[in-house]
Amino acid sequence: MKRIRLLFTGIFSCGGLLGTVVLCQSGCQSQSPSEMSSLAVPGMIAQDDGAVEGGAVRGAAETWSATCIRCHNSRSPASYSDAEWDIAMLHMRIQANLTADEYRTILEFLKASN
Amino acid sequence: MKHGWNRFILVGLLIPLMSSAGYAQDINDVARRLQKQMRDMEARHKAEMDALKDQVDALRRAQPPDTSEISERLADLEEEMDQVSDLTLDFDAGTTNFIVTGYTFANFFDLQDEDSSFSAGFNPIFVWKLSDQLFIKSELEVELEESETEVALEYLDLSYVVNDYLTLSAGKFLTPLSYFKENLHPAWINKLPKQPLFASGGKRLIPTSSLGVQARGAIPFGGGTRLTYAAYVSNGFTVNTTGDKTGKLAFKNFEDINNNKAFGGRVGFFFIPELEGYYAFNFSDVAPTGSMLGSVDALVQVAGLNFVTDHEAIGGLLDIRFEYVFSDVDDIDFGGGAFDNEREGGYAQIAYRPTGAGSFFEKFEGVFRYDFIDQPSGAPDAADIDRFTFGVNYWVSPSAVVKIAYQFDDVDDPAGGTGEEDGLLLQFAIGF
Repeated sequence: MKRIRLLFTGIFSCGGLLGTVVLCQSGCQSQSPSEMSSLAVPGMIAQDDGAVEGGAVRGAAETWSATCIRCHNSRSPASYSDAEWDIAMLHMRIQANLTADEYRTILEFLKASN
Repeated sequence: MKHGWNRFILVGLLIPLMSSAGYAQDINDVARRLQKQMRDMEARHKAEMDALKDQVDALRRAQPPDTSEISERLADLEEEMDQVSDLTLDFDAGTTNFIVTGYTFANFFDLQDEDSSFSAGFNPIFVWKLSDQLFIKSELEVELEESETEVALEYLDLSYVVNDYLTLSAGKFLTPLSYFKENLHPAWINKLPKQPLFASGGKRLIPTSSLGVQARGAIPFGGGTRLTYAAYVSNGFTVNTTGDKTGKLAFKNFEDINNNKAFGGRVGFFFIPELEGYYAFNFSDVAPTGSMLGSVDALVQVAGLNFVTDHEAIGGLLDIRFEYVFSDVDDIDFGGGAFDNEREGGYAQIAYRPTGAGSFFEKFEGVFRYDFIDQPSGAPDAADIDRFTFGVNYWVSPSAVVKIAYQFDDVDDPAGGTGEEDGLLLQFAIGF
């Protein structure tokens, strides 16, 4: 069994490193098909491709998507009101050790998108 | 000759008269001309007035209807809007805000050599935000154990955000030791119906929560790299000294068993936004005050990697995780002879969801997990277990999932026990 453990350890470590290489080859830009999926963002992202408001909106959307999926699926911004997102995001800031910039960027994005 | 003077006088009189008559004739001509001009002007003005009158009549015919009814309706709407605004102000007043969130699940497990059974659980999380700095969160765990309903306080965390890099907490908090246990164990986040062997059940190596104080935060370094940290002091664990669990750590530390506190922490680093590596430890003296054991040190160490990306290059969301736990308790003779009291556990997991495949397939997710537990051969419970679990998840919504999984257990028990068996695992979990 120790050989199997070493094998799986090696497989997953290589998988992680390979994924890192793939990402770096692609410019390490995490583009999110889930932004376009009805599962992750029902009826929301389809209306916002960032083209109208420019890079700031797209950057906030990517931060939101990339940060949330570190642990769980991204919930739709419409699932909470502004006041509820204030509470939920502070909870996530502490729980997930978000940086202050991540916290503020994502919170503003959620409030603007709900 | 009289007539001559008369003629002269007459002429003298006539001349003026004749002159005045001529003058009068001129005046009359002027007057007539003026009169003609006035008549002409009057005719023109009359025509213009008639035209203006026609225009005014046309405008009057084109005027909108009486707007008083519309004005009344607008006033009514404004009054209703003021009432609605007053109602919302009642909810918005003050800085204290509160939500209830959490998760719930229902299971069906059919394991070899065990009776198949349904079970369920409910974990409400209460969250208060008193201000931008003050925050309280608490989770209750309501579970069905045999014929009883068990209610436990999973955590009660009082937090104060000091600045962008530091948050202080006190209370019963999720122990920042195992990343899985701290962040991934809720049923709607965990990608399989069961937790890894080291994280739950009778063979667990790590706690869920600790009673104490902690400091935590994140420090960005630019380019998506950042350092995360957590450091804490808490009531220490204790060690079981009798029965099948002899030598194992016991993690219920509602009261400390001695004056020595446990301390620990975790440091994580994001090499890129998608890849995080971390190391954590917990150290404590686990011998109770007055125990014949003297001092028994316990060091639990955890290391792991998380790689999560949703990328076009791979057509979906790839989630790879690895965590290794090493528990080292002093070698103590608990009555049956001293043994090398080291335990290992861990898991490696890969999950993939084709988020770019279209609205049907993107809701399915494939998962494979390998997890294991190694126990000391001299301990009463010396069973080593290797488990392989294959699962398919269907995401009804981003926080609601139906999980179907099958686990294969390979148990190596010197005592001949079989432990966990192969079996079918079904779960419906919802995060709310």
